[in-house]
Amino acid sequence: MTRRLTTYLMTLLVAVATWAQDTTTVSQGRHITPVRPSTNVVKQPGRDVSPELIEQYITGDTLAAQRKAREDSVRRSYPRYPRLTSLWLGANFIDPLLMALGQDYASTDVHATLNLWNRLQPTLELGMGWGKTTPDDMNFTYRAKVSPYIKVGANYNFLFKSRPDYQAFVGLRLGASTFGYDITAHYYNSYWQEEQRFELRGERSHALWGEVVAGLKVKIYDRWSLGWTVRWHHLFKCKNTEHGRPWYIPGYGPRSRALAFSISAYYTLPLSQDKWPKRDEKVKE
Amino acid sequence: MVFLHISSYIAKVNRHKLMSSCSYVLKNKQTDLVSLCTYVLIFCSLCLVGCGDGSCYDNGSAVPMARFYQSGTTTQVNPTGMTVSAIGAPGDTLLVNNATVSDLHLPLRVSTGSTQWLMTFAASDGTTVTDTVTIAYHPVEYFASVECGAMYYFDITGVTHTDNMIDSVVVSQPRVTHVDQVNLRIYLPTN
Repeated sequence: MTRRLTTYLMTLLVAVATWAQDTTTVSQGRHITPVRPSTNVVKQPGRDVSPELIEQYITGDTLAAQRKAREDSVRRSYPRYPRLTSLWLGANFIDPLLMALGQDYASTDVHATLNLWNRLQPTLELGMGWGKTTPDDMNFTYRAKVSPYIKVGANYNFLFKSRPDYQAFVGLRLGASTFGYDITAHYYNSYWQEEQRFELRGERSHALWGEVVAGLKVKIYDRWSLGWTVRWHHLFKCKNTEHGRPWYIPGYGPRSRALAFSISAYYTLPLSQDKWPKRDEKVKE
Repeated sequence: MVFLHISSYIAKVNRHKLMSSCSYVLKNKQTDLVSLCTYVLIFCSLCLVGCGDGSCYDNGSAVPMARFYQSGTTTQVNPTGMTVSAIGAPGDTLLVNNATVSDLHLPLRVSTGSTQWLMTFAASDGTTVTDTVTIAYHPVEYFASVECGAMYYFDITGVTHTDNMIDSVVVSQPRVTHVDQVNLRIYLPTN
């Protein structure tokens, strides 16, 4: 009885092993994929594939050819501008216009910006500021003398893949000014009924501040562009005199204002223009 | 799920139109960005016009403030039935007339280097006691801000007083500014 049962089990085991072997043979056979006629063609190289690259493929140096092809591909999808792309010269003219319309102060400047790789743009601003205010219902006249200021910093252009004609940028500035002002005041004490006039002449101060700039620059005609910026600024240091706190800082504006706005006209001098990406290299107008 | 159905429906029915609109967006991406930034800048510049309410949150003039304390302690007291006037004030104007006082503002003359004050206290037996407080100072022309204006600050150089009721006077803050702060501490006896 036991020997018969063992014989049945051995037979069953052999049958299962045989079936498994057949199945494996069949599945191995499915790995064989015949070449389809549609993929069995010789591809022509693209229009912008260089002859050197084709030569490399033909001579069998496929690794170097693939590396070169990858570099070319990256360059085509990401047009690179040369280190010295352009130089802008600009003038900020909005404040004098607003002053003519009734604003109490003005800061105007000329600035030079070097466009590096159409991306990083170090800039230098030199300007003058002045102002005069006699607020209604107040007891003083404040005259900010014409005084200089300087700002240095850099922009980062977000449209670095496009033509330099259009730019959207953010930037940082460090500004400094040394300036003077005069104040004429009329003082009245109602309890003592006494009236006094006083003048603070030749007050001097200096200030240091930082700015975060966001702006646009668009081509208007030929090499002429217009740009406008919004600036949030923070005063690091401003010297208070024995007789008070300055109201107006050239280049910064009224001390209590955290935001400023500017509109500038630019003239662009292209540099290394022969190294600029060609217009058909996915560069948008 | 609903979104997938809608997407597939749009893709099947209107595929061509969808693709053309996508390419339009891509083509005009740069123009759109410039326009968006322009709107943001215009909005910010309009905000600039409305920034600052032109209010002065401190005082419009610099007046020293005196506060009364119980002698030998830091306990503040509020004298009742007190009368205060300045010697030489136009029309003998009273600053305080028979009132309870917590903080006392004492306006100073600019044209002189000192001001004298008469402080009359009501005693517990119904009588009154008067002391004279003299403040010597140096006025300083000061421009505080566009909102608060120009004024005089005062540097207190000394205080003298009679001692009928007042025990002592301490100058706690010699510079008198347009910001509220206690400049003089006047100490009174317990009773």
